[in-house]
Amino acid sequence: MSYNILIVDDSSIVRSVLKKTLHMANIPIDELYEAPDGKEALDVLRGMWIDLVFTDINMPGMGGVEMVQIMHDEGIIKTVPVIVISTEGSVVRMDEMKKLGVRAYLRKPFSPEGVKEVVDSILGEKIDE
Amino acid sequence: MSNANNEIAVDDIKDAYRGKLAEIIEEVFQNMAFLFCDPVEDDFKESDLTGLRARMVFHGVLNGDMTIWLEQSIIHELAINMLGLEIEDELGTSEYEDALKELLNVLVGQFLVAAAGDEPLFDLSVPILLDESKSDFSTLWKSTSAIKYLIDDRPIIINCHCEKSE
Repeated sequence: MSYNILIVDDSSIVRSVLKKTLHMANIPIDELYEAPDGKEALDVLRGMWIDLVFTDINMPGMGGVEMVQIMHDEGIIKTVPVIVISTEGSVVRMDEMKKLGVRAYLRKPFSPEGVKEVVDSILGEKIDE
Repeated sequence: MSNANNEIAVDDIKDAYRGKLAEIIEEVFQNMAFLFCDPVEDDFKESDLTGLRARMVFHGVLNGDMTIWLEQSIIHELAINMLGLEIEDELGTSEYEDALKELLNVLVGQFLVAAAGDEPLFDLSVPILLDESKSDFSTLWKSTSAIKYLIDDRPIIINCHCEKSE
């Protein structure tokens, strides 16, 4: 099975690094979508089938917290797991996001192993090496 | 906003956080970009260097900002290494700028946890490039409050100001 994955980060280089990391981690990908902020990400989520979202928190325009809040309010987060990847290290922030339904929180800089581990656990499948 | 009694800033960072910030800088450069920072040699001769400077502001139990200046060829290596490309590969301006801003983003995040612990929430600005970044290397380099390193004899300069909230 392959997955449709959405990467939300205002930094093009972070999106590129994460795409590379997902490929290095042998995560089977059907389509990779990108968005530079929460607003564009919500447009993608409302129009496409997405299996997994990676999102930053601190972005210009709509940030990750507001985006996740809307995903929560609209019930999207019940069916689309979200992984936050952020430099923010506050456990209060992590708890706040998890209460809204975020499944995992990775701190930057992330490793391929860390990404693979959370993706494996969330998607519930062993992804072949 | 600044209150002398509350200010942890530049000079006090030397005592309270400077060592921690220095460790963070070394770790982040290594982990993000396989770049190794060395202490500045006394005989380092500044020259007419060009680079970029980025700034990020934070508010919370600590208020302040951090800026970083990197020489242009280091930014190239930073971006190349982050993307896993070859040194001779060419990148666009936006990739260089994004690499520098992301480096600063990580530095600020790690610094705030080291300085304030993992409980407090902070409002963080998005990193921005400073217009004067192409110039004024000499002024930045001469600053006594700056934290300076060399990467293969090329300088990096970091400034951090912070003060405790009332």
